[in-house]
Amino acid sequence: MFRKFFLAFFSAVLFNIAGHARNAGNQNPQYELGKNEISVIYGFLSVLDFTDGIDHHIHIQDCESALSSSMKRKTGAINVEYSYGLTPKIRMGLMASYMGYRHDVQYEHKYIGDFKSNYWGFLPMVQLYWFSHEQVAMYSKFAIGAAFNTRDMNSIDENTLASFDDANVQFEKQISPICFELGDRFRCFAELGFGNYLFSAGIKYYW
Amino acid sequence: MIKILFSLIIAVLPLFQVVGQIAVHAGATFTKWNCEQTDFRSGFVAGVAWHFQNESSPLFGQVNLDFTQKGANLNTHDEHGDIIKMGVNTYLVHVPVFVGYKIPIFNHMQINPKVGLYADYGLWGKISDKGYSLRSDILIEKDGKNPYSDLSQYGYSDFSRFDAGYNVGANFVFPNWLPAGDMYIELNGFFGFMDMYDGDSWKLEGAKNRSFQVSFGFVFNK
Repeated sequence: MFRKFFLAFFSAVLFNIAGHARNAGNQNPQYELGKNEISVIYGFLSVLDFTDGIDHHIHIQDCESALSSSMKRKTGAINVEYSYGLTPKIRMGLMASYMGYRHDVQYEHKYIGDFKSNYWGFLPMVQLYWFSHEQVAMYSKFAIGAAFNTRDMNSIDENTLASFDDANVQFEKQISPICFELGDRFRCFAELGFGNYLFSAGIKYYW
Repeated sequence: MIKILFSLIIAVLPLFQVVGQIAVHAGATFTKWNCEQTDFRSGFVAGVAWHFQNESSPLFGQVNLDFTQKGANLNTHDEHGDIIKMGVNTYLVHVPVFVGYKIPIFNHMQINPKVGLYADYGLWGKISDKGYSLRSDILIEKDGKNPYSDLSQYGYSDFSRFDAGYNVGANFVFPNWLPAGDMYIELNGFFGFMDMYDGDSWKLEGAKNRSFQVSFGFVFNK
C-alpha cells in the first residue's frame, strides 16, 4: 500500500510540480570579464595514456610483435594560454602546450632502450561562455592547431631495433565542453574534455 | 497496480500535446568494442535532431538523425600467434531516440538526463593497419578494405552492418544563448546489443559496440 502511494505521489511530483522547468532559466547572465586573460594549466590523463594507436608516434610501431614499450615517465600537458574577449560570450586566443613521454622498450620482455617523445603545440582557440557571474562562470573551449613532435630512440641492441632521432608536425586538438571557473580577477578553474588532456586544472588572471 | 498505471497514464497524457523543435548538432565520438583486444578510436558525429515536449511537462523527447564514425583499434593475434594491430573505421547512419527530464540549474541552464534506444546502419568502412605481424601478410591485403564487404574474399566474415542498443546521456541546455534559440552540450553513451562480428577470427566473437559522444547543438525555437 505504501509503495503504491509512494509511486503515485512520485509520478505526480515528477510530472506536474516541476512542470515549468522548460521556461525556467531564461536569464543567461553575462558578467563582463576583463578583456585580457592569461592562464596556466596542468592537464591530467591524456587520451594517449590509456588508448593505443590514436597517436602512432608514441607507441612503438613499424616493428615486429615481440617488441613492446611501457611508459616510464610523463610530463604535462602543461599549457599557457592567452585569450581576448571579443564579446561577453566569446573569447579568442592562443594555447601553447608541452607534453613529454619517456618509454622503456623491451624485446621479448628484455629491456633494449629508451624512447623519448616531446610535443610542443601551438593552437588557436575559441572559448564560449555559457553564463558568467561575478564569481563563477561556465564555458567550453575549442582549440585546433599543430604540434611539433620530436622522437628519440636510444637502443642498446642495434640489431633488434636501430636507434633513431627524428621530428614531425602533427595535427593537434583540445575540445573541453564542460569548464568552470571561480574567483574574481584571479580565478581557479577546472576543465573536462579530450585532446591533450581529459581533465585539467589551473589558474587564470583577467585584466 | 491498476491505480499506479492509471496515475502514470494521467501523468503522461499531456505529452501528446507536443511542440517540436528542430536542432542541429556536431561533435566527436570515442568508440571501441567490449572485448579486451580493442582500444578507443576517435571519430565524429553530425546531424539533425527533433526535440519535442509539452509546455507544461518537464519531460521531453529527442530523435536524432546522425551521420557518425565508429570503429576501434584492434589488438589481437593472427593464426600464427603474432600480434595484429589495426584500426577499423566505420561510417554509419545513427538514429537514437531519447526520453528525458528537464532539471533547471542556477536559474539559467538546464541539465536534462535522458535514456533511450538507438539503431545503426553501416554504410561503408575502412581498415587501416601498421603491419605488426611479420609472418602474415593478411594485414597488408586488408589495408583500405571495407570491413562490411571485402573481408569475405579473404576467408573472414564481414562485419555486421546493423546494430541496435540502448543509450544514456544528458543535455546541458542554455536557453536563449543566441537570439534564435538555445545552445546545448550533449554527452551520450551508446551500448550495443548486437554482435559486431559474426566470425571466429581475431577473438572478436560476441564483440559489441561501445560509443561515447560529446557534441554541441543549437535548437531553433524562435
